[in-house]
Amino acid sequence: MADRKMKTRRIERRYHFSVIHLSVIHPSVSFLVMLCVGVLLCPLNAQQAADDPPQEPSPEQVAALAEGKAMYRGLCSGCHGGSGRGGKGPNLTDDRWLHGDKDEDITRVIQKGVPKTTMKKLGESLKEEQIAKIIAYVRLLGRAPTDNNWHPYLAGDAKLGQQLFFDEKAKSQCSKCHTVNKQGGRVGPALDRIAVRRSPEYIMESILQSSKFIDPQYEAVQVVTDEGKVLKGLRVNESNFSIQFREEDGRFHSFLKRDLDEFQVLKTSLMPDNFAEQLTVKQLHDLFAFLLSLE
Amino acid sequence: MTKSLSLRSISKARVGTGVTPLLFIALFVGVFGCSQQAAEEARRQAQVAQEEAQAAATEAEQLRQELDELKKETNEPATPEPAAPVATDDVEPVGPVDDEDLLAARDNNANWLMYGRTYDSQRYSGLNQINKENVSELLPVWTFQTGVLDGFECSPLVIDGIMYITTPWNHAYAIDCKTGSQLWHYEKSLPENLALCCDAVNRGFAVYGENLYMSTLDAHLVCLDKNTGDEIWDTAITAYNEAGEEEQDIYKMAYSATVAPLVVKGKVIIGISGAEYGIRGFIDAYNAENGERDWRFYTVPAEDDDADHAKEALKSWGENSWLTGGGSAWVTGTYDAELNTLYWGIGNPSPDFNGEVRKGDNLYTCSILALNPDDGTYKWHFQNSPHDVWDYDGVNTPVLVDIEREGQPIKALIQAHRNGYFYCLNRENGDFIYGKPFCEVTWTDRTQGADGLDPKTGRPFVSPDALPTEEGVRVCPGAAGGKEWNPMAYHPGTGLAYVPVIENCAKFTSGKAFFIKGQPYWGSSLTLIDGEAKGALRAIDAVTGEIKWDKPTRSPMVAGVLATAGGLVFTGDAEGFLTAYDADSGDDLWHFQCGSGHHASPITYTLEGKQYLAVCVGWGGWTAGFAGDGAPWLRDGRRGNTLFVFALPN
Repeated sequence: MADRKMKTRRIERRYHFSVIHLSVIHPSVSFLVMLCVGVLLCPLNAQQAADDPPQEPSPEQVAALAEGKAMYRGLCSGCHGGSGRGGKGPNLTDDRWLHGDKDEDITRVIQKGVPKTTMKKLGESLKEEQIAKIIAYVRLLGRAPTDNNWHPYLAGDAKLGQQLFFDEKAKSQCSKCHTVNKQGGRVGPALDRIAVRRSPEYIMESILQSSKFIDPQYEAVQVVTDEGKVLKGLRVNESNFSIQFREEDGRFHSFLKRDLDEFQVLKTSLMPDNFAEQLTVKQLHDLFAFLLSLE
Repeated sequence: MTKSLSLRSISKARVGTGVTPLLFIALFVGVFGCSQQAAEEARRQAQVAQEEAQAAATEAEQLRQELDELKKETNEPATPEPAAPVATDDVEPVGPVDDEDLLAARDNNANWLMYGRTYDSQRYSGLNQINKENVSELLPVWTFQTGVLDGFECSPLVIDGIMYITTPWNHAYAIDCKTGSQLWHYEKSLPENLALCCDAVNRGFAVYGENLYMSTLDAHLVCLDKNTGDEIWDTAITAYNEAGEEEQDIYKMAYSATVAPLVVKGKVIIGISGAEYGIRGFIDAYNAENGERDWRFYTVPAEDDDADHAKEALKSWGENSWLTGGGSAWVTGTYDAELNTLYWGIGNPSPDFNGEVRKGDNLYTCSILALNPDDGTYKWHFQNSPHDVWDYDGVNTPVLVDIEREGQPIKALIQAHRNGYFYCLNRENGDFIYGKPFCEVTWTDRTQGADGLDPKTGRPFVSPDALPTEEGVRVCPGAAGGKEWNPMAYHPGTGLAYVPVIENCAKFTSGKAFFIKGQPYWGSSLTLIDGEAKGALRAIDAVTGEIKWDKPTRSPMVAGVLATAGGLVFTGDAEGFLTAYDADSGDDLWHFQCGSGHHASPITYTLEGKQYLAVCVGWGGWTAGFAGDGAPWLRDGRRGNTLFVFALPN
């Protein structure tokens, strides 16, 4: 027990999370608008720093991206959202491209519009190079902000991490709730392309402090029925009058709220928050390496 | 004319019941019956039924004429007293709708003759058959699927047993109120590549005489024969292009029209859309007979306009910014016949979020305009949000109510504005009475003056911390404001306005504003704060602006509201439930899942003496935009295309 506590402290010391306003650093990415977690650097050894020189974009790239951003915001954000995650128009940050995912497909859609929808033609208004800049910015919206300076302090083994992820007997139990390549449980979010969609620090934080940020689509609820039975599960749907949720064992429930004695949306994630204790430091980094390989 | 007469007769109870269903069964058997004999028999029965129906119709017509004679003799009022709203099947048909019908719409409980039901747009019906005691028994009686998806924002009209609806993409239908059967269908031929910021929507018809009027997405006004759906005329709304020439196809300049027209004294009045694209807004009046334009009022003034008000307004636009100044007027206004005044809510300036390129107050954007409906001349204005930079597109309906404050009767105008304030003005002169926040508001400086508004003038004290920046700043209300376009209702019995509220905040950014003709002109963007968008239905005392009750909801409330003498308030939510609330307490007394989110306004009417409730259901419009960040649980919100009609069981 004492060992375990020491280890937890050790990991938390290594990954000392500090809260910063990410919006100041990266205004375009609103997923972490309110608060996000940055990580204080652990000392890197010289070799690692030489292997991974920080990639500074050229002034031209910076200017092109800024132009793309201005055009995106002025012309596209009304329907696709300031964050690109859609709304009236489709989400541009996920993997689903209804009209093709290549640059030329997206260019075509921007130039010609989509008939029978409110997606207008922009071909007569924008030059191809301008469209390319918009696409580059949209691609960026689909990526989590990366702080090139941040690395885990151990290089993990992605192969071992993969085994750990799917090992039903391991303490991690990841695949019980998460899928990768359609394998695994469907309680939590699928983790395909997670390395592109989320920053490394966000992923590490999600493992170590699972309740810090819960996607509204993966919130847990707890109800007390009129017979006094307490049930807890992942919310599938909620309206003003009813709640539908699925227990961890997959059992589905639907209740009218007025028939319940109590109803609450839990502030804690269904995901355990004790992986720092359950896994060895090596295991944690293997798992992390595996997740970071999912591009 | 004969057609509408016979329909009217059939809609009468003593004729319709029994005979028409038999006719349908007979026809059905006739067409699909297995044996020749059965078909023969069915045909014979159908013929008999038809003959019976004709005889009954003739008899009904005779009865009606006799009744008319009787009424003339006894001088009885043609419509039932509002205090006794139990309608009977003796309700006099409206026939061709004239000015008197429109002015008397309040007492005409059987029909729904204009967008807001009455010229004051209270959306209040004197019907009380459906009431607090029995509303829990309400059941659907028929549905009508239009087959046209996207935001269904129509407020239907009901005239003499026939319902008239418009759909997204400018289709329109006439529907038999008794059976839900389609009587005619109209589809406007639309060009491609329309500029539609907020979905391909339409908010409904106006009626005058035997004609219906619909504004269209390509910025036309069409007139249809209400008996056949035939197009009588189609007028292109025109505007001046950058060369100063009058242009016909103004959809190419990103103008569009979605508003339900308002007819005042033979003039069809509409407002234009397009302020997300740098148009220059206006309100137009067209001759109901021939579609010729009678007058135009520019909501953004021009240099060559000599009127005093326009010269003043022009001073509120830096440099040439008025040329692309926005100021749409896409929600139906209201009218006070006694004061002969038309009231209209004017939307946001262009570009939305970058105020640097349009220095000044930007009149008459985000204002309430009072005009003379005869010639479109200016009477007064009240600007709710001078120099708006948050897209508080103040088109919200200016509802006309008569209230009493400190013993003084006041002809008031109330408006739940997108900027988060509930306003009360004197509608005779535009004087500010009060403005109270009805949702979280952070764009005003609340340390100055009561609630952040100048108590004398109502002008807001804008908080400098709320101005959009390149990095973005969190401001409430956020996208779509504290209340979308969808109309509130006012119940004269409770004195309460029932306001569908959006509780949300957004990060507003300001950026380069580059104008490209026909393309969005936003001057940057907004992003809703993650997972924080929710809503409420709030009852607000029209005399004081105080919130009397508050029903929080999971998602923003973006459907219209109906209040009735049955002590009820009806509205729908984003998850698809249509709900009846107790008008006094806000308790929910009944709800029904309609299968798609609500974005339209329920209406009520009678047929053969029985009260019905109707609502168009189909998620869409700009508010689908909440799903991106603010209310991600609405992602993949299903669009819909269904009209529901409810009644109490027999």
